[in-house]
Amino acid sequence: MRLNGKEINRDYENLEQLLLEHRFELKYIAVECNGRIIPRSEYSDYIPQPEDEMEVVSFVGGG
Amino acid sequence: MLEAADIYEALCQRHTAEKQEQLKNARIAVAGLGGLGSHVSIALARLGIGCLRLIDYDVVDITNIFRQSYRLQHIGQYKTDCMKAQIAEINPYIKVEAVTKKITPENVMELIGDADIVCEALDRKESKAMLINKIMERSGDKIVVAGSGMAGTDSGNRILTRKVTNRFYVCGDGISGLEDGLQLMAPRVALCAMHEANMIMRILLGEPEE
Repeated sequence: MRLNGKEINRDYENLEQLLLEHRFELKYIAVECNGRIIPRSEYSDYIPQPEDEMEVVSFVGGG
Repeated sequence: MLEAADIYEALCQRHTAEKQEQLKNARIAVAGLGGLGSHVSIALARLGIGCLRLIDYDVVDITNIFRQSYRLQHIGQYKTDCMKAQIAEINPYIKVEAVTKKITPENVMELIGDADIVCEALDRKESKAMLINKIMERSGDKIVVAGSGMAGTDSGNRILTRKVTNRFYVCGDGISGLEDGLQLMAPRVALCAMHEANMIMRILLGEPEE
């Protein structure tokens, strides 16, 4: 799978595990996978697939 | 007093009747009326968007004046009320729904109502993430245009609009946040606001690629 442009070759139990291992702060992100946003409520259910193309958008404050 | 038809005709003259019809039929929610949302709201009002739903719980304070679309006379008043009054001075025939409430994970869908597009213009990063995640979870078709990274004094050329999915766009440089001790300066925040307003306009007119 690809995460923010980088190739990853291993399995994860679920999306939450992948995100935590890559040190993302779950409160501050939106996860895009194959053209759709996977909402936070699905992080523990979604199992990343080898063909997945993922992008994690990390928000910064100000508005 | 100008009639609705006079204003519509003037807008059609500038924008063309075809485009104006699309803009007039739009329903947009603006979540947060600070440095981003106040400017976005004014730009959308100038476009002649038919219905604007403006959401903010806060009152104007003196530090807001130097970055947000308010004046000294507005200090102490709700931002929703000030914005509604300013929009009425630009185009009194825009339907403005002022929602003076704080957005929470529980009430977000109720507060954005039946808007087709939501402008995310909140200030805290966890609020921004919450809004986008909730809307994507709870709605199958609403579009969100968000802002992330407009603090500091870096080049305006780094402020960009990016399409993440066909329902989620992000404007900003992506990295310059308040957490880095950076300040919010009027021009750079307004640049990001105009990216958001421009993307909303482009979605409405069916030109969504970025």
